[in-house]
Amino acid sequence: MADRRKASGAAPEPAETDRQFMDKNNVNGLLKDLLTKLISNRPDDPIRFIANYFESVTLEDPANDLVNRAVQVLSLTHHSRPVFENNVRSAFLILSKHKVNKRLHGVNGTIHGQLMQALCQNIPSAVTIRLFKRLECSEHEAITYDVFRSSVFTCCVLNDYASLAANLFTTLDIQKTGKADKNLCESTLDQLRTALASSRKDVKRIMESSYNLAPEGLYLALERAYKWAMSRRQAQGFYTQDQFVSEAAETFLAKVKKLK
Amino acid sequence: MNDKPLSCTIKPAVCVTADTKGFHSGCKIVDISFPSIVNPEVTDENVEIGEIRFQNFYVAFLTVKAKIKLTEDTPREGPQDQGWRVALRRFPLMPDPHGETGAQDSFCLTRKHFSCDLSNIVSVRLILQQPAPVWKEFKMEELKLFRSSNGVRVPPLPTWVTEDDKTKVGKKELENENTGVVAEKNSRAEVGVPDIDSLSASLQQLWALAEEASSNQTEESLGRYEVEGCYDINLLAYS
Repeated sequence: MADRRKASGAAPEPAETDRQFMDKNNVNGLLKDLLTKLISNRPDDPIRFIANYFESVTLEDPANDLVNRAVQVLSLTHHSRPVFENNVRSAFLILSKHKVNKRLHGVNGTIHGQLMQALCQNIPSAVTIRLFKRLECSEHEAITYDVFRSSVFTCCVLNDYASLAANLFTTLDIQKTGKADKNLCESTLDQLRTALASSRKDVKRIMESSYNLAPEGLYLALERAYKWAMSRRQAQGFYTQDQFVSEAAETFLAKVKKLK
Repeated sequence: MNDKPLSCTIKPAVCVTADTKGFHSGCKIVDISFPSIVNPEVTDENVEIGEIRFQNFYVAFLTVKAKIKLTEDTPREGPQDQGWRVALRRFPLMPDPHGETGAQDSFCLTRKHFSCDLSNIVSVRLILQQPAPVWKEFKMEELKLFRSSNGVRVPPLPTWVTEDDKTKVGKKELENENTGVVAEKNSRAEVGVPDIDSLSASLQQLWALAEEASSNQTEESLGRYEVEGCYDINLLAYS
């Protein structure tokens, strides 16, 4: 220890050593990167964001799972922010280190599938199975960036979609018993389906759908459904949250194109 | 709200002059009287002006005076008060009297412009001023007085907007009715009415998310040659 101190003391400019130390470990670059990320991502909870960032940095030893790192990069930002695009790009770069065989590295179906699994952890499995049917690639297939971006984006949006649907369910679940009235759920889902069925080019349909989803339109629809159910005197059924979410996700998945 | 102009007699403009020949005072007076004074049965007794419309012809400033009927509500304000009230004082019609701007514009003066309420009116006097010597002739054309200020009609709302209001009013009743009926009929499974607003909000968000996702789908192909059904086991067996 004493020797070392002497050695550093013997250096011509002791102030320089601090800088050298920083440079050696690339602390400046790291902090700069962190600050840029922090500013561009503008997270709700900055401290947690910083913690997560350092966590992902410290995990960066080659032994660590590529998928986890990619997931961490992707979770830095919400998908609605422009920076998300950058994050997807860097996630793709991380995953392209994946070893296919001795000489070949790149993103293939296997790692793509793993990433999707990891991204969709919180979605009910009934939904993810159907999602993967559309987006899954077989092992030998090389995934281009465009395909990667599209499927990652879909997963991220689906995450939001599922949590929103779950929220919707709690709204529908008036008695807070975990079971919502079947008629109510079905007519709500019907409204959603009709809205989603409208193509984006058909302006008239879009106007109609947005009217139907407005409080008044929705009220009328629910009222109609309720009267109809009453006239039929159907047995009252229930929807659980998972059922409802997967039904809602079905309409979403219809919009997801099957990879070709 | 009638769109018909008030029936009134507009007297020809009187130029304010001095005796000297060729003197250009730049001031004209237009008197307007209402037939109701002469013949009260023709219109309502209470003449009320909400709007004055005219086309300008080189008048730079306009002053509007109105003589109101002195009643208990509008008492005499002084011993000399004849009931004249100034509704508008030297209102500039042309930003620059020497210039051309605004010289032939159409104007519509409404209650917002008037400094006092023009009701119970006996007569109106308009004082037109044009200080610039360059414009010898100045007058107001197509002068019309209107009772209401709603001359410019707001285009009617689409029917569904008005319908909404009705249903909105009806909504609460229905909601009450609904819960009432349900409570009666179905005490086992009590069906209430969820919060429509939040329901609608989340449905719209779901819609937006799905649209977002669908607009971000890739067009790129992974190079699969699969055609639906071409790998059917039966087909493969024959080939």
